[in-house]
Amino acid sequence: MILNSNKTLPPLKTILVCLGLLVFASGCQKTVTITPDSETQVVVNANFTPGQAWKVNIQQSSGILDNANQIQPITDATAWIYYGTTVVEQLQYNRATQMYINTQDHTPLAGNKYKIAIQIPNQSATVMAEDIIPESSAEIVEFKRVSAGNGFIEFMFDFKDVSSNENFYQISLLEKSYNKISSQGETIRKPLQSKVIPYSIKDFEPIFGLESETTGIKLSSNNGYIFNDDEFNTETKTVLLRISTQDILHMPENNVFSSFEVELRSVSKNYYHYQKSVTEQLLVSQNPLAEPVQIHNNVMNGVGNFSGYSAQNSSNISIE
Amino acid sequence: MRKTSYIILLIISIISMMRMDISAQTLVDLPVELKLEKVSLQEAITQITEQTGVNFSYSKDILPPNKLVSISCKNLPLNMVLQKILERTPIQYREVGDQIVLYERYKSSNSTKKYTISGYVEDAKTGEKLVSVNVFHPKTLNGVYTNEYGFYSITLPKEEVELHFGYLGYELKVKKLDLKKDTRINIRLQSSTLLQEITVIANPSNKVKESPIINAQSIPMTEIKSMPSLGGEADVLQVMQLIPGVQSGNEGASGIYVRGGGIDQNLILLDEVTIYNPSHLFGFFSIFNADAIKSVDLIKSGIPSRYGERLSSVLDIRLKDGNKNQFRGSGSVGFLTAKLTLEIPVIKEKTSVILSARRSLVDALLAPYNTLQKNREGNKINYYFYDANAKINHKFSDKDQIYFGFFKARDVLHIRENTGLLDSTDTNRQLNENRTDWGNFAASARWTHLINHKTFTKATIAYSNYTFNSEDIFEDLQKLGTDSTTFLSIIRKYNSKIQDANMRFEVDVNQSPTYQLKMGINGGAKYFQPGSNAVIRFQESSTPVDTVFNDVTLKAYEFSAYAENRINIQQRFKANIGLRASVFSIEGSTFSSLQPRVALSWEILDKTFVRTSFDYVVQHLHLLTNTGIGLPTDLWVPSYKNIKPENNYQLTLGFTRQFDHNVEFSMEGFYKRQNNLLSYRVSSAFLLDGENWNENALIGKGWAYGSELFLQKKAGKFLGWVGYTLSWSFRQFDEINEGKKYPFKYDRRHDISIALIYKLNKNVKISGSWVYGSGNAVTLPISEVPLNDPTNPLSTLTIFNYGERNNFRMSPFHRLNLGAEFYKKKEKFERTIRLSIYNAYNRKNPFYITIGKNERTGEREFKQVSLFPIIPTISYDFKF
Repeated sequence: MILNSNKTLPPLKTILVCLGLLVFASGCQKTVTITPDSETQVVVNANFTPGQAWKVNIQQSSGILDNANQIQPITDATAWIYYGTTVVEQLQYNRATQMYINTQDHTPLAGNKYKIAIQIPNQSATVMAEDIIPESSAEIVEFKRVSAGNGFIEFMFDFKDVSSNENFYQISLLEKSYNKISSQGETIRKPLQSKVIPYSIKDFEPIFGLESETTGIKLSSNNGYIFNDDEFNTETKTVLLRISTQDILHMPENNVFSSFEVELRSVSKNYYHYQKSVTEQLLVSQNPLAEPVQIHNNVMNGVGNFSGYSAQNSSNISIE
Repeated sequence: MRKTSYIILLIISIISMMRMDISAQTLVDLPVELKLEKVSLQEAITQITEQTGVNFSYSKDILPPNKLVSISCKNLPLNMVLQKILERTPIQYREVGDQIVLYERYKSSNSTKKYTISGYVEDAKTGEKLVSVNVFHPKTLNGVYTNEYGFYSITLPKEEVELHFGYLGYELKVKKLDLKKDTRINIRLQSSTLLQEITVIANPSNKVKESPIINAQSIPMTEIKSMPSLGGEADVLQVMQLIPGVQSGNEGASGIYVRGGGIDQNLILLDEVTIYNPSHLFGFFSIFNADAIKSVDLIKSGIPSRYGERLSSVLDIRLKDGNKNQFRGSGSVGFLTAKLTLEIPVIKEKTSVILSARRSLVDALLAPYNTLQKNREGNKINYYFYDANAKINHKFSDKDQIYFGFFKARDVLHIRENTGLLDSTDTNRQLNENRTDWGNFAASARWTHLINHKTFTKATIAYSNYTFNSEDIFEDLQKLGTDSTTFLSIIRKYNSKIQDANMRFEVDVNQSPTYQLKMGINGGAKYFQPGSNAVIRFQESSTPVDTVFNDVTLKAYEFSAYAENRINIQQRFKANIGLRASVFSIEGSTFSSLQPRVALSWEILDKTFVRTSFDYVVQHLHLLTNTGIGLPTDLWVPSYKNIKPENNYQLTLGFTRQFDHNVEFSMEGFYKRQNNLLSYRVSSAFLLDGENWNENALIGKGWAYGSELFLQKKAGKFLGWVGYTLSWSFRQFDEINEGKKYPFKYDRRHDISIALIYKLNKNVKISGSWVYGSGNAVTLPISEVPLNDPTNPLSTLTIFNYGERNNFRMSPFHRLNLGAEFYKKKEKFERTIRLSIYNAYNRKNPFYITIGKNERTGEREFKQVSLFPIIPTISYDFKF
């Protein structure tokens, strides 16, 4: 699937611009009274991964015309995590993070399917969702820096899809910045911060040396791309990642250096479809005549996304 | 449950209407008051005509010369009067259309030998072939109708025969001959001056009797031209939207949606050549120039087997052949367009040419803007469209004729914008330029040949294409210091195309008045280029980089064959039973189908018909659309690999009642089931290229059911129609709306249309149309929910939650259009001034609804965008 608006939008954009002109020239706008179903819904959002404690957002949606400045968390819910029919964790609201977190020390495992059940006072229906943490279905082959130019640095990343099942991936690029400190004749790195940075991506065909528009979908947060493996099932996928030097901290003159690594996530189907639908909703919202996109939902008696992933990191490349 | 209740209600309604109808008055029910003493039969008939206005059709030869009639009656029904005056004569009578035909009681001919009379019927003045002329043999009550080339064939016993050729708006022609061998008679019908003055149409009043085809709606071109319309431009498609069961999409758009079908489910034929995009100006005007059109027929159900490839309807548009006798011209200048049509008889009565061209005048409206932009170094926006028709036909003999037709329609858009600063030396500048054009081209060659008196054949070669081209040019020139400059130029091109070439051979066998067979085969190829992109990049002195991607061309082959049997099972019971077989092959995928079509018509009472039909239609093409409103960027793509052809089952039941004074009432209920409908994963909304459409398609189902009422007055000083449609339409896709059934975007519960024309006198005509429709279904957000950001669990971003698909209704739309025509005839010149007011009471009908913030309060609100306010226009038409 190709989702590159730059490639295909111009003709449509031209037509829409002209339609817009037509509307401007002859049409008019008026406010209409539409009263949508204002019943609020419970929103459950969580991404869980092996080895990390549970963190779940449980919030209340706001009516479309409520003009709420901020979505409010639900603070008095009771939430349980099930593995099969066994409760493995009860979650508790944490005021500092405004999230529901572990009361015990359970952490999820790859390959397991977990269910969350939430009970909210004065709401009879239990809110439920379940998803699996996919086992890592890819091997990182290589991550290397390939070029740099005026204002950009380019990396090549290879990974091999090793499972014949339908798999989904997310590629994020992490910048780890540090200071160099000399100590006892050795130079050591003092970490400063680690953050996900935006990048642009192209697919690459190594045999022919051809670049092409990516088949990945850019996350709405601008911090990575997600893929399904339709076009590289059991094969190696090669992508070129380009970052802008304006987006990184690297300032050697100030003793701030950066290194980079790729985080490759094997994500569940629910994770993929949710992120994809969010991106699509934002894209389609540019076109008032297009059918809007409903966000993928795997929460019963509520809305949101409860989805798992496994992550692995590439080697670290320093650009000193 | 609702569906069952609805069907029961429908049946009850039909029965009720039929019961009501039984008591309706017919010609023979008219009361007569006579006092005659020993007058001739002819005189008696003349007296009845003078008193009742009922016309009689008969040959004087059948009237017994010595028969004298005496009668004295008051308010006696006409049928009793006729029985009285015709007693003891061999004469019988029968209502046919708006007249009573007198004929001799049929005695079986002693001879079992039969012969065929065949020929063409044409307008005596222009030589234009007349379609659907009633050729009637009163003695046997058998009749046939001329086909789309004006040809008829009727087989009768060897004896003296009398044939009546009747066509509303033309004088009845009676032809008598002693039938001793197969005979060819070409008929020229004289336009009735009287009728022309008091009526404005030329349409057979009893068209419903012509065939059992259900719901073939025909709106005469004179009515189409008289209807007020957007921009004052007579628009075939916008008038078709006024027919029950046919809906407009968005406000002002000319696309048609028939009985819950999509915009891509209408087979639009221009002289039998498929047209892929029937719109100019982003879907607001049709590409068909009304001045060049002879007839328009819309078939919504009982689709005959000769048509295929579209699920919902057939719009059959026929162009004029051109005047064979005299040079004629016509044209008009209006608010939106200027057009000219010339009819040239190259060889009198043998060869004629018709040329017609139309061009928009939108450029003139944009001129002030472009003038204001002059100081911006050529900033401009320009748009125009044009279309042109040419048709040549030549008659080699009575047996052979050829036709060549060409059609081209194009829209051209050019936007040029200088961004960035311009200094006095013009060394720093940025230029954005876009040239976009799109349109159809069609060409055809057709040869008609009469093998014998009963067999009409037709061979056609046709080509049609639709192309969309867009070119974006970006130039950046910057002066760096005194000597050096940088230059970058990027040209991006986008092209999409569908081409269609085919050959057809068709045979009409008029075996007898009670049995006709139509057969045909069609073979051809289709080429699809669903979107090719190219980028050319120049930078300073470097070599240009030229990249082409997604340049995919798919080639498909199609073959189809059909047979259509028109059978008069009994005098009042007719059937059209057909079968169509089709094979569609593309890149190793082959789809084949058998498509049965059945239409039955039963005349249960005089002028009262009950009709039913079943049709199964398969469509191998799909329209990949961003918006569903018929933008030029929409792509036609084929059934391919996992994309199976769409198919449609439709069952209808209805009845029609013809009243006096050319009034007809019909009611029809329908139920449709559509399978393998295509929708696209939303990301495909931005996927306008040739590689991946089939992987992004969703396969679903559709249902539509409802009923339509149609009351039409076809002739007279006052004519027009009232239509009402009550309908439901749904879609279901596994991956949309959680797999639940949802209302189709154009599911419109109530749809009313009223179209009226009134001729005040021979020079002035007024018209009006009013439409009302329930609001379109629309999907709007119901709440705002936090985003689950996998890279930032603490994100406070929010997204919209849209509930169920099509969960709201726009406000109903209604609009009144008014028009007036002022006609003046001079010796060799006619002119008509047309005034038109579109949206006369300035109704703000919804085009789309968006969500935004109130500029004053900052609060979120829904905003309805409306398109066309009241638009008065004037146009000047002329003829010479």
